[in-house]
Amino acid sequence: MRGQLFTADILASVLVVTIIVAFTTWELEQVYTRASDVEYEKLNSLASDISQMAVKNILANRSGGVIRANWVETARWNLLKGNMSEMVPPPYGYEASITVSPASLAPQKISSSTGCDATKANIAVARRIVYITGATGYFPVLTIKVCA
Amino acid sequence: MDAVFALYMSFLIMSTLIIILEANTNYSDDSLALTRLAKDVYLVKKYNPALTVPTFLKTDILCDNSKDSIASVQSFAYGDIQNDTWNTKSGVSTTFMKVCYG
Repeated sequence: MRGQLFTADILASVLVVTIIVAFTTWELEQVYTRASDVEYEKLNSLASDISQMAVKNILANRSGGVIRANWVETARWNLLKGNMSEMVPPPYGYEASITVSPASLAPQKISSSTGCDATKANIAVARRIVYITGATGYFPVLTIKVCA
Repeated sequence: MDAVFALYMSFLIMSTLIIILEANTNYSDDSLALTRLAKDVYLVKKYNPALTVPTFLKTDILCDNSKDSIASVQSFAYGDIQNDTWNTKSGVSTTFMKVCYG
């Protein structure tokens, strides 16, 4: 009887220890992936803030001194490229594009020298809905990508 | 046995709390992006109401309780826009915009 109780205690203890070891291993793995997550969150904040500045100011149409938020002026596209080069310095990369669907206007795209292709480990994307003079069908979409 | 069981229960409760807290962090990031998109839709519809919202985004009644994340913004304007669907009171127009991912 005493032997059986001892065996049950051992089994219960081994079960708990096994679970704790497994959970600790999982948490350690999370610590390593957390570093990647933190970097992604940083890139995501950057992409989100750049998209906000782009639609509210950098690309925004001006009429009589009044800024029309979210009304993108394609003539100001190069201004965004200059700003993004300063805000997203190497080794980070960036891409910015406007897709118009259906293609009633020519799509616009700028990127850093390295761009943000699928080989990048971390890519954050911010999408904004904008208006361009002459657009038909769907509202154009401004996509900002920041990667590392 | 009681001590082992108590330790096991403490472990379960702590694990559950950690997982819930992590889930809440992810939710807040999505909310900010959706809220900005809701404001975008409100603005661009003023410029050209005839255009359609892109397919990755749903608005208004298409955002029911089955969606994981829904954002809504309430906007006020003073007498610069006339629209029958808006509530007009003392020159102030109020509109709600609700969006979610499609």
